[in-house]
Amino acid sequence: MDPLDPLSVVLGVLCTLAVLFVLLIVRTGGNLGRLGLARRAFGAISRDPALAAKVNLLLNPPPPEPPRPPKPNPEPVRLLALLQREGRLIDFLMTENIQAAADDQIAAAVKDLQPKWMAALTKYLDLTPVMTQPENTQVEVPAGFDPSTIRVIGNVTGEPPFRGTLIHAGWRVKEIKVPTPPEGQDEFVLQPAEVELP
Amino acid sequence: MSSSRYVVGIDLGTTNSAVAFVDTGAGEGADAVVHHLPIPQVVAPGAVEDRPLLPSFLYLPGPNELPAGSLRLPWAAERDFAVGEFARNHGSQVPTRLVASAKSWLCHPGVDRRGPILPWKAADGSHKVSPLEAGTLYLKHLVEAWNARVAAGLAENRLEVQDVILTVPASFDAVARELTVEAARAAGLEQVTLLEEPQAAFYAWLDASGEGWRKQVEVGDAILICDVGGGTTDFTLIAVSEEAGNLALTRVAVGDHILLGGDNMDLALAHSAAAGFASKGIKLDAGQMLMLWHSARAAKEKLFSDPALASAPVTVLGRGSRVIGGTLKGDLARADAERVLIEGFFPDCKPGDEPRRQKAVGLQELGLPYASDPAITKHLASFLHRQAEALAERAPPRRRRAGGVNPPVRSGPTALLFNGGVFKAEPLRERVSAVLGDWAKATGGPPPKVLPGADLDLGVARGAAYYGLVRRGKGVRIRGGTARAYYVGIESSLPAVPGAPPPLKALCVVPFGMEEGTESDVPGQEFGLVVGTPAEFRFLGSSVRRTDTVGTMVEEWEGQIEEMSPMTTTLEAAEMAGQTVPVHLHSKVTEVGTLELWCLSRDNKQRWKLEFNVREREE
Repeated sequence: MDPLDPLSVVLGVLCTLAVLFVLLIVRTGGNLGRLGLARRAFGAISRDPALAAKVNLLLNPPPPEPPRPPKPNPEPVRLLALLQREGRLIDFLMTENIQAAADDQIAAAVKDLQPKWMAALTKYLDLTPVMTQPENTQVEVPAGFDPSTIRVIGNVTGEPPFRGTLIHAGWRVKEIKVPTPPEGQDEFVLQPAEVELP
Repeated sequence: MSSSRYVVGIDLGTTNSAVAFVDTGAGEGADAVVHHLPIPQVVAPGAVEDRPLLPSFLYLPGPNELPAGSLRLPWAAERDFAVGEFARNHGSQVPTRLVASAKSWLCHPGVDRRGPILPWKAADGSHKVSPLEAGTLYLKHLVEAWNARVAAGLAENRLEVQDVILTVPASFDAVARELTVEAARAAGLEQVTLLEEPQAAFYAWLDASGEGWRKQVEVGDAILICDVGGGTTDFTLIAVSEEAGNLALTRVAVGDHILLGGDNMDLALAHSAAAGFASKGIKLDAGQMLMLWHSARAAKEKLFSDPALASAPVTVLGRGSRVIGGTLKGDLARADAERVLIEGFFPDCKPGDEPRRQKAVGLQELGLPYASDPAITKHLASFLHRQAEALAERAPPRRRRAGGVNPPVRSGPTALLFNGGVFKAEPLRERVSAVLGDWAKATGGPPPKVLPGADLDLGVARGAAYYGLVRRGKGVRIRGGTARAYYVGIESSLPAVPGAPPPLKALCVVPFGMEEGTESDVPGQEFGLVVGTPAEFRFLGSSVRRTDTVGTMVEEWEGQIEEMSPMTTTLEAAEMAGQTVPVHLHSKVTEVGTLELWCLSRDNKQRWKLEFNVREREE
């Protein structure tokens, strides 16, 4: 076999380069600008590690975060916080051993606190009876009544209208007027712990 | 000066403030109606509600003490202090952050009233304000509440440009009045006039009585206004005389500023209830005493509003979460309540009785000068005794029986007007009437009649608004001028004696009763002041010396004249630095109700104003 003469080697290298170049052009679809950008990027990334890290992120995007669980809605306990603040209702309801308390202690506490509870419920819920007549009087239940507002018990036969005795006047919330606490307030804390400094 | 649409009365009280107003632009009505302004304030963290009164308390929280946004107001989203109900309630549990009784500090001569000294018990380094600043903040809150509620965005309806009548206790001296006006100006109020609180209460009675007031009093009457509020007691005498066929009213005497009021009474009841618990072996801590205080006050109100009750329950709930387990139950019997309140604060006494004065022990805790004798009737006796001259001066009553004998001029008050929340309790009103009746009987006269129909909480604000109308020409005006005579202290030119300070003579610069809007030169005395050096004048006042005219020199004044804050001035005259300029004094009582003293040069061409020096007095 003949030793490769230099001219053939050079020609061979040049042909390979030309084929590679044509392949590159074919790859970029004829956009020579991207080719120039690729060449500049090659140089920049080799020189700059920060840019290399950014480009790495672009090339290998991190997996998306799993969706966070929704924040629990504190609105249902807002009223309890108000009743605790104005009437210490949670302290009362969470009494550890009510059987051990003396009757007159309970009476004194209830007589002191119940007016405050009533005032709070009236103020924040505008709580009123469903039927305005006094209990234990004769009332009429009209035809087409809403069963969630009036419940009939006893000797129930036939079709309304009914006449009967009002046993329980019912409770209805006329308007929810529970104010929004300040935004710095953790609403799941119904009563902050109190620390007295000497 | 054009008239503003609203005439506003502001009662800046020691414990509660209120605002009343008359809308003169609301249409023609024979009687202008006085309205009250409900004042929005922070009542709990994050909750802003209207209340008829604004408690005069200021709470200065530390950083990160309350959740963010707790003290927000509709007109100030970034507010970081609280004024009003929340300040009072929460501050009662955290007293090191609470500013209370700022008004009483404003008239206390022994402290620097412009320096940051309140809260009094707060440690150095915490956020402090001066009594002047606290008063300014209360007024600013009222201004902001008005602008948010009434002004409706119109610049001419803002409170800063309305006619404002601001009430001060009758016992406030010239210095305290000057500081009050300064606080009002700092709050933005441009047109302020001062009015004495007992006079405001009387104006409220005049407003409520309508034209019928002339039938309830007669010439020669001396009306005693007895004003016992939350923290202070004030007495004033108004004489009814005749002028050109019409009844005329003149304020003839005021009492001292007595730091004694409803809060003392509630505390006394709480201590009595605590003694009841102690006899059962139960000792109360500070938090329980606070709850007992409130519970005792509620029990007192129940007892006094229902004469049939023999006792009212007093409950102290358990602290912490053991609300039932820790509950203490007691009873306040009517007999105990009456003993503590009536015998303790309104005991029977003779007309010549003096209240017990605390002997000044060498080392005394500096603080508000609370009255050492809680007997209000004794203070009243002392007041009437000192003002006997004023009582004797008034016109004799008209002859009532044709051909009969003129009734003798009685030496005590003949009519009585109550003011202040304390007198909501009828037994207390009856007791004061009874005591005055006993004194009147001793001199042969009938008991004083009680003028009815006063609104005890809101009367002062109503009266102030009514006075604003009076100034515009509607209704009858109480005359009076200054309630005190004022003097400048001059050291006698006697040889110095070691150990004895040179005796001080008092030169009268403002006579008793000098009318607002008048001024006069002080003749007969010239002073040489050095230009460029501050000059200080000792300043004194008297509420009993009534006959001294301007320029009178008084040599013996012990017991009749009290020293107040000194006045200073520095003569600024660049071209005459170091020279001595002869000046004489010139006094003026402004329309606003404050006092001005000027130094005038001999040729009357140059004048310098003397300012009150309200820093601490060096002993």
